[in-house]
Amino acid sequence: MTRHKKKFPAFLWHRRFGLLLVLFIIMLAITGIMLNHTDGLQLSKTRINNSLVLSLYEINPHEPSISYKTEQHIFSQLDDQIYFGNKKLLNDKQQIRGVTNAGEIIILVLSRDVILLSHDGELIDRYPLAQKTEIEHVGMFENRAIIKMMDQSMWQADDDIINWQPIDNMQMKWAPQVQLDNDLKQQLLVQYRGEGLPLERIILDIHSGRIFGQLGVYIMDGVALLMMFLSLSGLWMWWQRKMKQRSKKERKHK
Amino acid sequence: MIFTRFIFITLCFIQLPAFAGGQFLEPDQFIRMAFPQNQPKAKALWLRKNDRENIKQILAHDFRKLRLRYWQQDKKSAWILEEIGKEKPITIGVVINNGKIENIKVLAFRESRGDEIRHDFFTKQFLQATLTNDMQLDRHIDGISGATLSVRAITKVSRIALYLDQQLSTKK
Repeated sequence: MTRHKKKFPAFLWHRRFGLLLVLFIIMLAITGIMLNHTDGLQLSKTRINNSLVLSLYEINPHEPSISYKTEQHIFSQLDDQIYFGNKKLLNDKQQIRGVTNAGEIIILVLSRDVILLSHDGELIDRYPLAQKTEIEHVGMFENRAIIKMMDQSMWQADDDIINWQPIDNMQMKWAPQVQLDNDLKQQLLVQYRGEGLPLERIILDIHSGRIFGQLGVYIMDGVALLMMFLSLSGLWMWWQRKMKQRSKKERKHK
Repeated sequence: MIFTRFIFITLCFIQLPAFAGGQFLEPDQFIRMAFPQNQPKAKALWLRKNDRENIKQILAHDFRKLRLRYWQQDKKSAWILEEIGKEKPITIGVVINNGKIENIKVLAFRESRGDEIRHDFFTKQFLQATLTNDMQLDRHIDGISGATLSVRAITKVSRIALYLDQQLSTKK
């Protein structure tokens, strides 16, 4: 009990912080050595495509995929990227609302715009449907494209799919949303993520804590301050011990 | 009191981020303005390879569309076209009458800067402009400092509209 009381508090905190920082110090040492040898370890050339790591960088899609299918083609959307089969077609924040075949032309409708494409995926035309509400569905009825708006009004296209005329509401089959098969989904995910992230970026962000966002940076700031404390408290204890040993020697000599 | 004054003066000098974007005119409204008596139906101009090459040359970048919508009555045609200013597309409506620009309006501007091009003091420079043989406007358009890319975009769109109107005349 008396022995415990004699301990300088810096020793207690030195021990506690030391135990707390073990993993951080090992991690900082390993990542620091790796970053010192970036070229030798080819960190900038190695690309990481792991979905868990990429999700930390918010490179994975936030919204579930949307897909619509015609007889020959499938159109999909991952966030703001729209794909024709497995090829990227365009970037748009509007959501796909349906797709239908009108002979030589494919009509792809987004929430506000009508996009006309050839069967090779070439852009023929794109224009907004000048309506106050968003598009809900698209479909074909007696060889005419029909669009249903969110306000339940229905519009029929002319031969050239340029002008849309209001028509009476009727029951018809709309282009259904389909489930994206796993193979295609993986192909689209690879395109969505691009080449992935260089390993150097990830190691650097682990080292700085930035991989866990701003909170990680603050944690690493705290770790750095505690390491400074450890070095000073270690120095203090070494000095105290040295002074004690010196006074003991002096007493013995007396 | 001094502290409150300090906060007030500081807030006066803080510059909030500018946002100049917005939809100024719906395409339908623009077409109604262009043809007040009787609004014609939209038609499609299918672009030949040569047309696409010329548009590409005016834009100085790729052009992907195969056809463009237009509205026409007698010698007057109206076009609604888009061109990127700095990062986002600017939607511009152009009315051509007898080969000359009769009206040009910015319908939607999505960039954060450079929307001065929508004002009449700037767009009136385009009125009655025609296209030269080398697909340039027949006059110099004075720029606006801080809106260089938007000025470039509207100038390109005006040249394309004049070019497309010429193609309608040659097709007849």
